[in-house]
Amino acid sequence: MKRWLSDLALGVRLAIGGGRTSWVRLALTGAGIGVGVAVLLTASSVPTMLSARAERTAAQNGVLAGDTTPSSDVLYVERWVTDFRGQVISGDYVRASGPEAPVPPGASRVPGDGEIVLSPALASLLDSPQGELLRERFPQQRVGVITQQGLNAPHDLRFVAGDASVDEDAKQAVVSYGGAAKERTLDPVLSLLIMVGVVALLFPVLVFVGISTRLAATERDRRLAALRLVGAGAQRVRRIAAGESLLGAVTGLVVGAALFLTARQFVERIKLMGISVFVGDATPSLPLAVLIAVLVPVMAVVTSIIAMRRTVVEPLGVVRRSKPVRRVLWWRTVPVLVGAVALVSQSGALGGTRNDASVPIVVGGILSALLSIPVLLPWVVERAVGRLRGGAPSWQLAIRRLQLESGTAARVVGGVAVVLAGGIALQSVLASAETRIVDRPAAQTDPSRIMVSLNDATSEATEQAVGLLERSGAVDRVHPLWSVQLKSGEDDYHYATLADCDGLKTQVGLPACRDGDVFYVHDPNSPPEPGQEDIRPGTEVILSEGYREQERLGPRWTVPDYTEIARPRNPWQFASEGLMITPGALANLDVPRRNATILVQVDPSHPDVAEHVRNAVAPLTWRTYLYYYGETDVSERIAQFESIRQGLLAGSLLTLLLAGASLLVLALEQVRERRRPLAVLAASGVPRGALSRSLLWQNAVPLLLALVVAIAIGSGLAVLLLRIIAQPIVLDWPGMAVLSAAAALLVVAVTALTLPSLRRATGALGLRSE
Amino acid sequence: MSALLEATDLRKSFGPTPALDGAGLSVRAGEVVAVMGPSGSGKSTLLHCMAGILTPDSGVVRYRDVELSSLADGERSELRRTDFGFVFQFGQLVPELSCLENVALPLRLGGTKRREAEARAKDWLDRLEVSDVADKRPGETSGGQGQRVAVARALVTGPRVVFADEPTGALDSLNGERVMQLLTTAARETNAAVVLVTHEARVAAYSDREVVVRDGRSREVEPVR
Repeated sequence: MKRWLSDLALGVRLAIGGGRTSWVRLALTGAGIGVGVAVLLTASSVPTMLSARAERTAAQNGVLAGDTTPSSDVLYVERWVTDFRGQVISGDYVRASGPEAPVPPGASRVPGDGEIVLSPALASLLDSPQGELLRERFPQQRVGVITQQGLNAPHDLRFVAGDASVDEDAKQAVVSYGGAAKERTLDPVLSLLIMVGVVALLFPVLVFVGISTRLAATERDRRLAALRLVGAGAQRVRRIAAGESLLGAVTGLVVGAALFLTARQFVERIKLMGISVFVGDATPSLPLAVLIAVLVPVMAVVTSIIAMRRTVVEPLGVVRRSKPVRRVLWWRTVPVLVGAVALVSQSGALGGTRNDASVPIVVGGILSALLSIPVLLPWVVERAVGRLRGGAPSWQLAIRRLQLESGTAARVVGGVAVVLAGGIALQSVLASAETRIVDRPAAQTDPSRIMVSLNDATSEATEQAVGLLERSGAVDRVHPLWSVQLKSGEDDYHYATLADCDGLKTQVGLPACRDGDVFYVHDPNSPPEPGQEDIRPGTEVILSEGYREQERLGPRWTVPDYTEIARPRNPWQFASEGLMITPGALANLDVPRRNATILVQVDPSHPDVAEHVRNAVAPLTWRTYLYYYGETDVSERIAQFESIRQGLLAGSLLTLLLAGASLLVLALEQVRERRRPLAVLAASGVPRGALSRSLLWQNAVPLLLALVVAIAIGSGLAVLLLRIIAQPIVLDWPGMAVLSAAAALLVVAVTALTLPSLRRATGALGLRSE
Repeated sequence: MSALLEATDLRKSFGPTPALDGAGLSVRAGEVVAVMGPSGSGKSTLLHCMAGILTPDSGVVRYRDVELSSLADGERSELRRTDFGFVFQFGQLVPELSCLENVALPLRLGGTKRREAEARAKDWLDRLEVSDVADKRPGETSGGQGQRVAVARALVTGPRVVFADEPTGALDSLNGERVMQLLTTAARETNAAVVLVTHEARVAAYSDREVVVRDGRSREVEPVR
């Protein structure tokens, strides 16, 4: 054990002993592994994020008194949910029965009548110029802020307001807060994005770790041979080489932890698919963090030992056992086929609901498809360059070099190709989801109608709501629609709507209507439910406020002749089936009126019309809920998607940069290793320009091939993933163009950065061998 | 006196090219033997086979009556660490370590504690007149200094045989002379044998006897003094 440690320590000493080159190598390895570690730490934080969220949600659940008589003070609560420009705002109106009433989580005390406590996000929205229109809905005096305990996420728009008008309904009385935690599941699209993202990000990092073992390979070979010469055995040399890798891995761990901790500070600013997390929640689970801390160095050491398996370090130098064999295709197609079969088999599996059984298959499929790129590329590059002939001397030099050895170049561009393919797939999934949001309103809305539902629609409340709406400048017309039950037998109820002709015309698009008319709406495409068959004219019924246990019977009525009409197809005309009755048809009967919705006609050209209508009924707070069938303001969600796409693009470009760093290191390494032949070429009259162009071709040819493979596999992956989540197939061509252009730029930049090294190598000193 | 190291009828080919074709050499304790010959004659291959670095296709190398080919890789590594020392034309120093660490390296690989290994290494750097480069890396020293550091490293473990392959090949004549003086003097002081591969007569002049290798075969010659 002591010898092991001493060998590893010697490896560490050798890794940092080579001056600037060693430090640059260590920095590159640290950066590459660091990005991987940061991704792993983020992924290992997900369980903590979900459980912390679930615990807070559970703590926010009020335990209701129900039918029991509470022994101490209680909190009467009414929940209200409202929208503001596509954002959901929710909160409770509360009234304490006494000083010992439970305090809502996150609040320091129960707000009194006319007081309110707000979440930081809601407070800042109200204080911002954008929130001006919203202020009308929250006229209360602010007396505090809801802390993390009362919120699920930092961006939650929540409030707790004191209101003396909250009913003393014992069934709604909260005796305490807290309950069992319920696990929160992720949106399937989000899960898919995370899966592809993690895989696409980790792959180039793994490639980079692999490449880092080849960094300064000549120098490493030389020093390992020197160690063999002075008596280090083959096993010891492997251990020493592993020690060198270990330092890179440990540096990577430190860099990764630093990156994670830095990025973590900004986590509250990120909102992904409506989900955001608190800094405190972004904490890696301890067992997973320990696993990462142990596995990463072990992996680096094992990778290094495996890489040396085919290498024999002898005192006179290093030989490699690999024979120059022609690559075969058949087994290289296995991953792509396995991935395709796995993903095709899951078509539609994540179409709406989460399907846990599908997740491993989908992840496996993605992994397999992305793995196929580095597996296929060496074959593609070998075959493609093998066919290339002729051309200018620079082209010939590059192609001959690639024909001699294209494996390393193919492995490096494999990392680039995986990022590109992952990026293309991700961007396409997002582009498709965004299209769905942007397209939906145009196809399914009527921007001139809003429906206001009343929780407890007494005639007075309805009249008050109608009055408030009529006084709003944004409203054209207001039509109250009453719903009544027609009881025709012991357990035989039929649904009916009572409204004036204008209301019914707006609701179901009647051809003609006079007061006293009755209509029967039915769905021509589906037969009625058993027991809900058409109610025939002449049937005697009892007008009822509700049904079964809730029924409150009113007067008797005989169904008159009616006009049958088909249920309208427009989804916003959400007329239920059943009778549509105008007031005249009920003569002077005292009809029970407690369940009402108010149909509001608005001028859609009025800016923020839905917000003005919400403000109009805001004095009724929890007693109303508003459905807007017009064009919902999707700009927020589109902006969200845009920011995710931009973030992903930035991430892809960053990872591309990392892959570029590998390419650069490899190119510099090649110039260094081939210093003498390059110097000889220059000395014998080959212009430096030709040598520079040869370097450019040497980088560009494999990358171009990688680009073709990446676009093919990335697009294929995108199509299969979109089928899995049942989204329309939309390929993100502009995104592909940006990534391809970035890759092309990368080649030019790498070549440009190699030029100073080439200049040095081809100078007079390049001919010196020692 | 019986031979300390003896090679008999060695044959070694690299692919279709024969490097050794029945060469042999016998070395006694404390003597300096020069192996001479033109480029490509097989003299370096003979040295590598005798040091256990290369395994001959046929023939026998015996060190203290033990056949080297019968030893496992680990045993041969140990032999190189304890009984053999090496000085090559270049490339034998670890560029990442300082000169002092390079000299101490064989001792440390053998388990000697760092402080003690470095103290002994310092002594040898003093003897070879390069203590001023102790903290420098090999790349920061001149060719002559680097070779003297290599000699110090070859001798620090007290080897019985030092293998020197063109040790002055990359040095000017003045530096070459100095390195040879120091190497042979130190070897004689410690009773170490030296197998010296060279194609230069003035380097061979430091030896007790000379062997010429030509076309893979060896022949002993009387030195011309």
